[in-house]
Amino acid sequence: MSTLGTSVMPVVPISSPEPPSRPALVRARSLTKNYGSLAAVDNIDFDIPRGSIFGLIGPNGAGKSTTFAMVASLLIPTSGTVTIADFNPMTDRMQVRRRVGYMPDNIGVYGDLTAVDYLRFFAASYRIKPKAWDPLVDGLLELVDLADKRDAQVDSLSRGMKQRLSLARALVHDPELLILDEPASGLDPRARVELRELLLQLARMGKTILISSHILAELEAVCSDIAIMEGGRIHAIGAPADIRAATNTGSRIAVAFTDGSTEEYPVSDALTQAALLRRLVIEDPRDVLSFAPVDADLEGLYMQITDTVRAGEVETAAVASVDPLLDPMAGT
Amino acid sequence: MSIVDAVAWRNPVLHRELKQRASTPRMMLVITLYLVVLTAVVFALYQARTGDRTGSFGQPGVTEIASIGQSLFEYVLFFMVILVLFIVPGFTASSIAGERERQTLRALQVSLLSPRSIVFGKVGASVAATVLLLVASLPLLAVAYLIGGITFGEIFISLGVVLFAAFGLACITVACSAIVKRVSGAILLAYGIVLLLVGGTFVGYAVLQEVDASRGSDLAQPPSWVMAANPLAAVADVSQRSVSDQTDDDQFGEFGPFGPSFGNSQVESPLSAVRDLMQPKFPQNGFGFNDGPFPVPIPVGIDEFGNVIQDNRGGNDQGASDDGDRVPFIAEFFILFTALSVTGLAIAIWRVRTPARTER
Repeated sequence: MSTLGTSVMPVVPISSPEPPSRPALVRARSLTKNYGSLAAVDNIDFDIPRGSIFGLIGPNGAGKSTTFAMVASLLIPTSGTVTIADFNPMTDRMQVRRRVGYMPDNIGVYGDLTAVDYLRFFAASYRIKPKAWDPLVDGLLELVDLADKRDAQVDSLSRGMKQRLSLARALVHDPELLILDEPASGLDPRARVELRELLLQLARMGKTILISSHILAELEAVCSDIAIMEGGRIHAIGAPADIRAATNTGSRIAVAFTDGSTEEYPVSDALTQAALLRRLVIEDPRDVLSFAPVDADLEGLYMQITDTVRAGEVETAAVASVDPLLDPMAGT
Repeated sequence: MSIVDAVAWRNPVLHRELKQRASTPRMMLVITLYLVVLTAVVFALYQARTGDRTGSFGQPGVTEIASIGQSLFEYVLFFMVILVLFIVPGFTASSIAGERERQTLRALQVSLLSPRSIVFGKVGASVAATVLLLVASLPLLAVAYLIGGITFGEIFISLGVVLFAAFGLACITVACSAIVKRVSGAILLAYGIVLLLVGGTFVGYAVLQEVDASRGSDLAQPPSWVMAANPLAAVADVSQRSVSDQTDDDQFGEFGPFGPSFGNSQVESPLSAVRDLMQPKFPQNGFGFNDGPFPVPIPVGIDEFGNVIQDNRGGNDQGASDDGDRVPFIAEFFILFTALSVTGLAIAIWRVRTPARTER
């Protein structure tokens, strides 16, 4: 019934993001990664303000993991730049690694170690002195709610627990930026909710989080900004609410009439909604059978935006602002 | 800071690998199996030698006892080399490829560990496990030492060569592990290289020898560097020094590591078989050689009357004035294996280093 996939989207094409309201921790400019003739990441720009949760949404092969690998100093871009706290991962590798905690899409763990030994190992890998290991590891296990699994073998942990342990590993050196590639992948609903709570808690602690997912509702719940990515390009960027508004799908009401017809009407607020209903009931010759709000979820938005871009209607859609209501750091 | 913590902090990869190996029963099983086999071989050999060759009073003579000690020594050394050839690639091939398969490599690469620390940790753990095996077999070398015929220095030098070979193989294998993405592929490549270093060089040497002989050379012996990447040949070389007369500085002289006859005909071992295999071939059979310390005429051909033409420079390098600058075979081995080791380490470090153009 939804017309999201077919309506024309009044998006605002821009060449580069607008200045963020807070200083950016991560800046990407014309970032490109080619594998032969394939552009895995194609000339993307984005800024991630400090303390924000920035979500990258896209299907498999969209270029999310490649983008993350470049930010995390694993891959050399073909062209363009990315900086983390003004450090370039290509030239200031160690400075970047001190500031970045990276959790890849496939969490690999040493199954033969205990949870505590696993974190000690990475504490040593981040050159943390042995005397600091125990309080650090205990604190991290407490944070990710694995304190009771301290001496359990990693192999014996559930996937959700391994995911949280991996997150603790990425936090072991207290990084400013957390890069989480598909952290909720393969988790059951309870584990997803727990992970979401944990991410919000980390954001409250001041961490900047760059997260990807192809389950869009997950990101809408936690992200202050999102970028919709497909085919290596960012097609829309901004706060979820702003993207929804820009696509003119923020609030719609679907009305069914007794003659069997249905129509959707945009409504911006409660007043227009009331006016619309009054007009339909009084003026419209058809009798109203029922009406219901049409919720433009992110998946619908994603489909709409990428379909529109594929159809060549717009080149890039970008809304570079932070929605204070969705930003967990707003007002802190 | 405890020693364990110090190791864990200095090189967490090495610490983790050592801990992981120590916590699984596989290592204990390997050591036990290896020692059982080696002990059985040594015992059987001792029984056979003391039973077959006895002196005039029904007991082995002094020379005979020395020969038994030398044989035992060479047998144990041979098994050590075989162990190194089999175990080191097995221990090391999964080092980097295993991290990749487990999907833990990227977490290491984004840490503050340098690629060098990661690779050295892997190689160090592999060599440490091999050292453990070699140390476990020391009591058997001690038996040979107690029987006689070898010195502590000879044991020390031979073990040094075995350890160096283990280190070199670990460096080569860690490169295989860094290049090939799958552990199975890395294992295949590593054993392929070992086969090439051991079997390939033997075959190559034999082919060159045949080519030499077919060209009518008086003394068909390819250059020794053909064998310089062969750990078995290197150990055969150093152990030969102990079982031959020790008054000679360079045992091989103009004939290289496998010069004609070694004056140790009583020492029977796989390593002496290796040396025999690499003996220079002459156009006709029937020449007996003596590689002892004293100049012995070397037959270099046959004149038109059927008489043997002899070269009086001797069976060894005594008097071989034109060979004064010749690099000893063991030095060739060290040079070549060092080059291979450094190359292996460099490749592995390069493959682990990030950021890179492609995902590693």
